[in-house]
This record gives sequence, structure tokens and C-alpha cells, in this order.
Amino acid sequence: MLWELPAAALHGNTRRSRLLMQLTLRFPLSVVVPRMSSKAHSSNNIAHARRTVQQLRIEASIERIKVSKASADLMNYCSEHARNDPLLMGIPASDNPFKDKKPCTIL
Amino acid sequence: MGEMEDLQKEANNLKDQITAARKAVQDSTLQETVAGTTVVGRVQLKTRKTLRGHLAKIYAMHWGADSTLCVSASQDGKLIVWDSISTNKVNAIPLKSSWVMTCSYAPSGNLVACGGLDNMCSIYNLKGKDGNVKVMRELAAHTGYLSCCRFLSDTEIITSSGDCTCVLWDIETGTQKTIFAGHMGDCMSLAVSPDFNFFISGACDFTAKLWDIREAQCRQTFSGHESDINAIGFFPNGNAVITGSDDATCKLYDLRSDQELITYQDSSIMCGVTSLAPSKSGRLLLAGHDDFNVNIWDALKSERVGVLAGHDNRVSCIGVSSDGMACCTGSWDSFLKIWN
Repeated sequence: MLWELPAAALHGNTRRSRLLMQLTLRFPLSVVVPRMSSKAHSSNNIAHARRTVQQLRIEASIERIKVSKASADLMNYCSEHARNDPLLMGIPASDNPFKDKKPCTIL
Repeated sequence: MGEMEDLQKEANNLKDQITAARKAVQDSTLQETVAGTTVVGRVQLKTRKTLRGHLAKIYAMHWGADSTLCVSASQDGKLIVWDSISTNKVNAIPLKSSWVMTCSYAPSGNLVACGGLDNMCSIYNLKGKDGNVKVMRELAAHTGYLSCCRFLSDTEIITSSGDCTCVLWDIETGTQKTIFAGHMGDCMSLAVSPDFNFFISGACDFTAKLWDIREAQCRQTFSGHESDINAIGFFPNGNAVITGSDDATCKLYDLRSDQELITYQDSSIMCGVTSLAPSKSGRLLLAGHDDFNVNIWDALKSERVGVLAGHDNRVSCIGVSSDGMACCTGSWDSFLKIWN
């Protein structure tokens, strides 16, 4: 394979077969792999290589901000919104629509 | 072949450029920035509701925008719309194909969608005139299983597939508006940005990609995971992406500095991540694992601050409601649990 992809990443079929086993398949599925002529194969490779270079050009050209600023912004967002985060702050029983209200007995 | 060699050379140069550009902005780390912050206290959530009714493994769930209704999909061949507060089943929709892997609730509340090994995304109208829930559209064109789907509106939906592509569909005409190709492995999960202009996809090529929906372009690619990415989500402000992988870790990638800021890992966690959801402020990260548990992380300090243990089988899906009041987990044990 062209550019340093881990070999396992190419095997989408492994993922597919694991999924199928998990789903208790009753009927066997056949996977058809088309065979290509060597000429078609090499022109496919060039087309793929061109697309990859084009994509890398896009990704190389983006503007990047400093990690210190990015981190500070994440931290500030968390602190600004902390009090509106019920799972973080806890929810008083009276405000919790999911908490079963126990019936009260008036003595 | 001369051209092939030239292309390979240029690709390697560009990859080096990207690596250098990322390093050039590394004037600090997230860890250093938050050094003065204290870790959040132990988070103990309780099961408030158990939604019972599915007869087989639950594969997916998604909250409705009202933070009360939610939809779940199970291998029993049903989509169930639940009122999570009363635990009533609002709709129980029988599916043509029981091999369902994903479901989604439209922001309007009018539609739900699902799909799986049938390679199709089926759209159901919940608000039909005669009260019956019917298939409104079957979006067919993917050549691989449907792993995830998310509505942009009642007229547009994005799907991710085992055929390595993501697609933006026009629901009314049932046609593909845009095909997002680039991943080298099955796409397993997708999430839409809060402003609906971008989406991110995680795949079996171990990378996550950021896509510009209208420009139909991949803007950024994030690597680092050592196995399939099963789950992906946006940090609430839309500036960062969180991924969960079979390598048992979650990672946070910042979009504007174009790099990984933190990995959430622990030597005691050896099971793959199946699902994840941030809390409303982003401070907590909830991650479902193959070992039946949900780990709760302090997302800034990368420390585990809680565990949700209550399912008797793999946690396959998790979601935090949009008002942040509750977390819902779905499991292969056929139950959904609501926690807060």
C-alpha cells in the first residue's frame, strides 16, 4: 500500500465479518471481489495518488492557532458553562424530572 | 513510472509539512494550561429509569431535541420511541430488516431514521395524518452497511457506511447530494457540528476526518489511534473533536490547532470504546466500553472520575440530552437506562 497505512486498516472486511458474527447470521453472504486488468490497476493507482496529493495540499494549507490559545479556550468554555451542566453540578431532587417522587404522608 | 514517483515524493513532502506546521504551534500542552485547575469531584450518577421492551441487543439510541423523547434501535427488528420520563413507548416501529446498526431523531421531532446491513437509510414519518408511522423514504445507494446517520433537517440527512464513504442525501427526492470519499476503511460513526456546517467521521482506517458540508471537502484528517474508531463527537463549542476506539482510548483533537491535545487512557481499561458523549459544558466525557461499563472522565484533566455500572452486557450506545439533564445508555442486554 502506498503511504504507511497500518496493514490492518485495509481490511474493512475483517470489521464486516466481526459485525456479521455478532449479528447471528443465518444465511452465508458471499463477497465478490472484481478482478482488474493490470493496466486498469496502474491507472487507478495514479488517479488515487493524484487525489491523495490534492487532498494533502488542502490539509497542508489550513491556518493553525497556537495550542496554548486552543487549550485556554477549551478550559474557559468549560468554566463558563459549568453551572449549566446538570450532570457536573448535580441536580436537586425537586428539579429532577427523572427522579421518582415519593408520596408524602401527612401525619 | 515517473509520475507515480513524483506523486509519492510530493505526498511525503506534504505530510512532512503538515507535521512541521502542527509542531510549530505547539507552544504548550493542554495539560500545562489546566495545571492550575482542580480535578472535578467524584461523579456518581444513579439509574433513574430503565426502559424495558426490546427483545434483543440494542445497537443505537438518539435523544430527541426536547430532551424527553428518545429513539432506540434493536436487533429485534424494532425502532422504539420512548418518553424517557414516563418510560412509555410512544411508537414501536417494525422494521423490514432487523439488522439495524444506527438510528437518528430529526431535530424537528417529525422524523426518525435507521439503517444497517440492508445498506439503506430508511426514513419514518412520526407525524403522519392517520397516526400510523410509515416509511417515508428508503435512501439506497451505499454499497456497504449503514453504520451511522444524522439529520441536518427534515430534508437532509448524512450517512456513514461500511463502503468507506459518507453521503449527504436530499430526503425529498431520495437522491445523493454529495458523496464524501477519502477514508481507507469502513466509516463507523459520524457527528454534526453545532452550527451544522461541518461533520466529522471516524473510520476503520484509524483516522477521523472533518468535512465541510457545503464545500463538499475534507478539511482535516486526524491520526493517532491504533485501531478502528467506533465513536465520535464534537466538544460542545464545536472547536474540538472526541474519538473513541477499539484501542481502548479516547482522544481529543482540537480543530483550530489541527492536532491531538489529549488521550484518555488507563492501564486498567483494556476494552474497546463503543460509544461516547460529552456533558453539556464539555467538562465530563462519558465513554461506553465492551466491558459493560461507562467510564466518566474529567475531559480537561484526563482523569477518571466515575463509572456507570449497571448493564449486564456491552454498552453499545450513549447519549446526553441537549439540556444536559440526563445520560441514556443502551446495551446488548436489551435495556436502556437513564442516569443523572
